[in-house]
Amino acid sequence: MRNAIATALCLLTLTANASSARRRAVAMPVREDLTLSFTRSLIDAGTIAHRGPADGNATRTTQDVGIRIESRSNTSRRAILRASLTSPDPQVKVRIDGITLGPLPAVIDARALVGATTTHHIEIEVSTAAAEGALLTSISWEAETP
Amino acid sequence: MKKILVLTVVILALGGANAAFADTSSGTLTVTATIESSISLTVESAGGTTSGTGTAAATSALGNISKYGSAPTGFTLARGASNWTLSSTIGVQVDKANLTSTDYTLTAQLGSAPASGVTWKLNGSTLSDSAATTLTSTGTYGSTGSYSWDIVVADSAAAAAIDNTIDFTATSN
Repeated sequence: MRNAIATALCLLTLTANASSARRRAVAMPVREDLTLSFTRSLIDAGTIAHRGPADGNATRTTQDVGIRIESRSNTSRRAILRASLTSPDPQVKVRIDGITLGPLPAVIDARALVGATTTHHIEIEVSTAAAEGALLTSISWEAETP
Repeated sequence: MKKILVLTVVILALGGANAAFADTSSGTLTVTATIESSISLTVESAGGTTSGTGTAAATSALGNISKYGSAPTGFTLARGASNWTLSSTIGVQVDKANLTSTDYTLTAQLGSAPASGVTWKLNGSTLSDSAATTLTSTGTYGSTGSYSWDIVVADSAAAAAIDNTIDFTATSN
């Protein structure tokens, strides 16, 4: 009786595992399935100069960028879009769609549409205490299937 | 039986882990800009009926003025033997951004020649329309500097408008 129960449970388990594997083979995306592309690979915000007291303690400039997530296998309809700064500067704040970026990835869109280009609003805020000169920062983006 | 159940759970857990992997893609967007240093000057206060304070282009209206009339708003009137003086102050603030300079020089100059018999003074120095007068060479950024403002009118001056413009220039040191 013990042997019979054991055999039955093993068969049940293997059967369940095998059927889910078949499902995955059809529905699950393969690794490297998503691709991320930008309408602009470089954002040049030009010259940032404080315009007076009305600007407060920082100067802000905004730029838009379009981001497209594609699924090679067409199995993903939505993705989680995150962004972070590779080298954060305390004198420069970068916000995407109002979300302040830091060294850790922040969710920009929890349900980003795959297969469509979505425009995101990038705000760069430079403190009046920042030194004059060249500003260079990189935004790391990642898209992940939920 | 216990062993079999444990085995089953392990197999199911492995199957679940295998099914839960997520696909990820990443990219980098480079942002460049040039931060430019700047200073700004604002007129914060002035005698008379003022408008545009807090900006770089304020206007002060004194209305009709006379030796034996009353002083305009924000002014005092002092009558001398052969002239009379309207006195007030002008507050000027200079702010800096993205600049390492620690102080500034502030000058003032009249926009046009003063009416005959009328003298414009700031900080006791007579202003002209031909050369700038230095008010301070160690101005402090971010705080309003108050400068005495006198308009001296000779009794012999013709009754006429005395309109003029005081142009302030701040230069970072």
